[in-house]
Amino acid sequence: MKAQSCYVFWQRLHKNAKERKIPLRVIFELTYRCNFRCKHCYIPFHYRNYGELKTREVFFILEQLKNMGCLYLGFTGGEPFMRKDIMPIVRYANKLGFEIIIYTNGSLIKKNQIEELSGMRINKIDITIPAMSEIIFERITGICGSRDKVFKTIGILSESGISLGFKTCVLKENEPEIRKVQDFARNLNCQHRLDDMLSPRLDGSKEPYKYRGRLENKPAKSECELSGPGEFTNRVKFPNLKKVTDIFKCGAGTTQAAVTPLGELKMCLMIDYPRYKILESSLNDAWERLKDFSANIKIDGDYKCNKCKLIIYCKWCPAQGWLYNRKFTSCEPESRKNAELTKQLLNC
Amino acid sequence: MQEKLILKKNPDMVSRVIDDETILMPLYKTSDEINCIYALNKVASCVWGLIDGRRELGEIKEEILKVFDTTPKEVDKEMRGFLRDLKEIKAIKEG
Repeated sequence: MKAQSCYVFWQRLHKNAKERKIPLRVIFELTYRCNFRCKHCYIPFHYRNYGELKTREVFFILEQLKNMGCLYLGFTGGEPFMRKDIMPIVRYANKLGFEIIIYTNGSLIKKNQIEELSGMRINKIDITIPAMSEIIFERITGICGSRDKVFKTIGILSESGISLGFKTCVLKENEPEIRKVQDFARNLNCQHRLDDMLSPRLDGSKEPYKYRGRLENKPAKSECELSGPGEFTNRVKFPNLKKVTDIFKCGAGTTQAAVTPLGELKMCLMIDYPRYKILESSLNDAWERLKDFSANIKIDGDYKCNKCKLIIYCKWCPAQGWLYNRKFTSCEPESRKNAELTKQLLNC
Repeated sequence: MQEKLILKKNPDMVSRVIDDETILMPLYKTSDEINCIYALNKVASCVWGLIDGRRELGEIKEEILKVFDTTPKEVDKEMRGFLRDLKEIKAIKEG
């Protein structure tokens, strides 16, 4: 066997998956429940009562994901560790041979769970850190004592050898804290992502816009590229296309998808429509329908990116348009405002 | 090559077929190579599929000769190298 770099392997796999429309990357929302009450969260609070799949149903979907060629699997929520069966689920997914990332707030992970996870093939545990200061942290999460729990977990995780990543949503409340969180991540030699693109909620509520903060300092290049709803969206800057035929540069509906806590397949975390029930037919059937839907989204007159001068500064994606006014192609004003600001910051 | 040898797969090494490509992945941290993924070519993939703890290497070789346009000498050489690699990454053991 000849050694090959991960990059070459990934490029080849991704290229083939794109050509043959294989769901290589899937993010699985295991629950809408969460022990935090962050005001800016994109999941409406009433979703927390929606229920979720049984363990054996999760296993059944994981098996189908494996059979369909999914390799990169993210577990998220809500808070995935709200589920009592989280460890059996991760264990099962590990045995099926997925490359796993767990997105969590970190407050509920127990020491014995970390010990077990450290022996598994877990690519990364990704924890959201809203702030370093206890007051600001807990004002954002809405839960007293949450900061201590999260940082205690981070301490144990960082000694366990598990690869760690952090994310911070840029809010008005934590603007002065951003650099501190970045320094903290750097000291632990961990990746840190900024999300300065808070989206409306899945039900269309624009309340999260109220909490959006701004990066006061000139953002580093990596920050511009990595922020967004999640790294599974793999943001790619739009080139100056003359003719756009596919607005889903992230691969939603062609190489990536999301599964809801109720076992529905959808394009990505942020796009709640359409949703196809996997358990009523099969994942294969749901994927075929999703691919069809995605392929038939037409570029209409609302689509302005290919003529927009802000395009290289903009983090717009069809999910932003969809959440704004239920149109995949529409220019969402907050993205535009953000792009203008980024342009100013980078050019000053 | 020891034609009578029977090999078993290590259950802690999972194989996946993604887009006609077979990959091997260690499930647990036994070494620093936890993050490695091993991609197999078509012949290697076929050999891997035939290792089942029952077939002798000679039988596997015969199966390969039936499927691929190659010579016994060439298969011998390729299989020897591939099996050595599999042992090195602890994907197989003698059964």
